[in-house]
Formats: sequence, structure tokens, C-alpha cells
Amino acid sequence: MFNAEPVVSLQNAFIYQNDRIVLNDVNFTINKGEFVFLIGRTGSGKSSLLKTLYADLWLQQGSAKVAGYQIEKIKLSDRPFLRRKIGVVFQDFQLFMDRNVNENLMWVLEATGWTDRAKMKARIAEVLMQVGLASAKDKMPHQLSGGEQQRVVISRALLNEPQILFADEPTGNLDPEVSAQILQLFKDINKAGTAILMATHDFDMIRQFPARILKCDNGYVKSDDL
Amino acid sequence: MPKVKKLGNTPNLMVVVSLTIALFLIGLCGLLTLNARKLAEVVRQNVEVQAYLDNELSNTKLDSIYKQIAKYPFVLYKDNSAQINFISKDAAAKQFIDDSGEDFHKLLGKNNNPLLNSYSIKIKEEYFSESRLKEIKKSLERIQGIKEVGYVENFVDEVNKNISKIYLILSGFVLLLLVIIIMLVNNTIKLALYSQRFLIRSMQLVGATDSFIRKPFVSKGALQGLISGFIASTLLIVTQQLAVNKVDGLVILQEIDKMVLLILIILMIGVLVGVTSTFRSVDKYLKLSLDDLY
Repeated sequence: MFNAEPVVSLQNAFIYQNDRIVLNDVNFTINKGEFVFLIGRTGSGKSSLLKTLYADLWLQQGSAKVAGYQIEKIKLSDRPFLRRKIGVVFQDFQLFMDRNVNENLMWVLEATGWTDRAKMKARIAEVLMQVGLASAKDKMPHQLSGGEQQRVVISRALLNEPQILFADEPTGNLDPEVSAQILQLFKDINKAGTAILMATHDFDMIRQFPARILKCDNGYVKSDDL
Repeated sequence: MPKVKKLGNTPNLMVVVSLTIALFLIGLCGLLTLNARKLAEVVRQNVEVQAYLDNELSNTKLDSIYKQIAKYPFVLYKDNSAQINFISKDAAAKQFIDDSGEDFHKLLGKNNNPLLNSYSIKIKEEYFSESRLKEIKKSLERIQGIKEVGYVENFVDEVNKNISKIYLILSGFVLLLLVIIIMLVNNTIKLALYSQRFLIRSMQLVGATDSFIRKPFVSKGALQGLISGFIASTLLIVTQQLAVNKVDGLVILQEIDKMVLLILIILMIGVLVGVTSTFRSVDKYLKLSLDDLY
């Protein structure tokens, strides 16, 4: 059954950073619509784990399945198609600075195979509404605040209706108030049915929004279900 | 206004200028090669073989010898007539005296002419080699009434040798230039793309295929190559016209159709170098993992 299948599942996966193992024997699953925090100190392997999940780092040992793609066997030519089924957000994820918000999103739709102009326009309006930036369509990125830019990035990740969002320190360089707003946005997105795996070291955030926690510690991932 | 990061943006001027200079030099080499080739052709078409005839042949005999010679495949034809000239011994004597300044009549007496009547035969270009000229000499000497066949020995091989030397040097130079521009343009484009590596990464992470990401960069590279090709071609034509105006006799070496071909080749090289260089540089960033980017 499609619905029963987890969006992410790892079995005996070893996460490498170059030739060094950073995480041993990782086993966990994330189901559809789940919200999961990934915590751990800087350098504990959070980012490497996420990169492995969106196929930026090669999974050399063990197996992982993300959005129906077997990560350890994925071909380079399949990578773009995996990434259309997931969304990736991280703090220095760039927007095109030479075009406005609408054109930024339009580019992504074109790049991912959309052709129907009317549907593209409707989808852009939809995601901008979802992130609360319905009126910012014609603004250039430099006219937006950091929090607003991050919202555009999130809306971009949502365009192709991903099964899961991978967020790596998405509020890393935002002030606490804006961070809380962004986190609320992730919560709302999650409520609408998208699973989220968010790496963070902001424990305040976790206290405010209790959810399932995966902890990277001493080379192992511990599941700490609350 | 913050510094604008533009998709597919590379420093136009640097790339175009370096490409233009290199293409111009390549074009110049091509032009020299063309001129050398044409010069060789002119020289070759003027190579003549002299067939010296026996004395006191009747007009009918002369005519039949002419016809026999004209049948050979090596004889150059122009406007359907064989390029064979009869040179009488008197004309030859006059020419000899004019050329050498020595009047042998003074020595031998007025009616004594040691020279022979001859046919001067122009040879097709493809027979222009020492060994083939030897064969020509042999077959001509088989004709009755021809006493001896002469041509300027070694001249032929000398010309051939020099021409191939020129070709060799020029093509070596062109090859060297090609390597240099490819390296130069590669480097310029690589530097330009370095500042866009995170943008390229972002595109990959939203699920754009490699070919989709490459497209704007590569088409820009093609355009830059084409523009450089146009500028280089214009410079080349100007240079060539200047040379033709300043140097007498260069006009006969001018070949419009070959020149057009040369310009097409320059444009093609420009586009090819622009496309392959950007393609390879972008590809390099597409294949890197995120950590290698920092």
C-alpha cells in the first residue's frame, strides 16, 4: 500500500564525510506527514545525514529509501527527479538576485518540467499564499527581509508538492522572533500533510514545538520519541 | 543596489577579447596558408617541359608530333586547347642571345644555329613531382622526331619541399594557438563560474536537470564565440585588403571563395571553443558535492 510506506527509511546506513564515517549503523523511518527534529552538536553529522538523504553525498554502505528512490543505487540522471519529490531548505540556499520572486519560482517550475502557463501561475500564487507572501510576487529578493527571503525559499521547495521537506538549520541566521514565525510556517506546512525533517541546534525551538527527535551523538543516531 | 548575481553571467569583454585575438591569429595563419597554396599553384602551372625536335622535320610531321603530345593526360588544357607552344630555333636563338648577352653567331657564323626547334608544354599541376616529370620525359622521348626532353631539374622538388615546410610550420602554429585559446577561455570562464557555483548548486537542489542548468551558460558561450568570430573575420578582411593594396602582385593570390570558407571556419572554431569551454566548466561544478564548493 502506498500510504503505509514510509517517506524515508534507513537500514544499517553508514554516513560518510569523504572517507571518514560520521554516523554508524543508522536505522529510522519517517512516515507520511510526520514532523521530526534532527538535533546534535555542530559536526555531529546532521548535515551529512541530510545530504545523504537528498543524494548529495553518496551512501556507500547500508540502504536508504527516500520518496520511493533507493538512495544507495540512485543514478546521477535520476537525482533531479528525486529532488522534485522532496524539498530542500537551508540557510544559504540562494535565490536568483537578478529576478523577482515570481520569476524565481517560474524558473523552478520550468526547470522541473511544467509547461502549462496558467497552471504555473496558479501554483505560484498558491505557494506564496501558503508562506504568507501573497503580495511579494513582484519584489526583487534584495527588497525582502531575511525572514521573507527564507519564506520564498520555502515556497520554492513546496512548488512540486514534495512528500517531505529537508531543512538544515533553516533559521540559522534569523532573529528569535522571525525564527519562531518560520517554525510556525513549517508546522502549518506539516499540518497540510508534508513530512518534515529539520536539523537544528536551537533547543528553545524544540521546547516550543514538541515533536519527535532524532539525536546525533558520538557517531550514532538515537531515536528519542517524545 | 547590491551586486546583482545574474544567471549565466560571465565577464563578456575578457572572453570576447581573448577569443578574438586568438581567432584573428588563427585566421592569419589560414590566410598565409591559402596564399602559399595559391602561389605554389601559380608556380606549378607555369612549369614547362621542353621537347626538342629533330632538325628538318616537315610541317605535317610537326603537326603529327603536336597531336601525339596533346593526347597525353599530363598536358594542361586551357579553354579546350592544349597549352603547347612551338618555339622555332630562330626564336630560341633570339631569346638565348637576349638572355645571356652572348651572340654565338659571331663565333659560329651568321647562319649557324646550334639550337633546335622545340615544343614548350605546360604540365598539369598534379604531375608536379620529380618522379612523374621523369616519366613524362620518358614517354615524350618515345615519340619519333623528338630528340630530347628537358626541364628544370630539382626546381620542382625544391618548391614542393618548401611548400610543405610552410604548411607544417603554419599548422603547428595554428595548433599551438588553439591550445592556448582553449586554455585561456577555459580559465576565464572557470573564474566567472566560480562566483556562481552556489547558484548552480541551488538549481540542482530544486530538481533541475544538468542539461537545463547548462543551457543558459552554454548558449551564452556560443554567442560570445560567434561575436569573437565576427570581429576576428572583419579584422582579417581589413588586413588582407590592406596587404593587397600595398603589395603589388598580391592580387593574383586572392581567392574569394577560399576566403569565405576560411571565415566560416573561424566562426565555427569560435562557437565550438565557446560552447565546449563553458560546457566543461559548468559540468565541473555540476559534478562537485556541496562540501567541495566551499
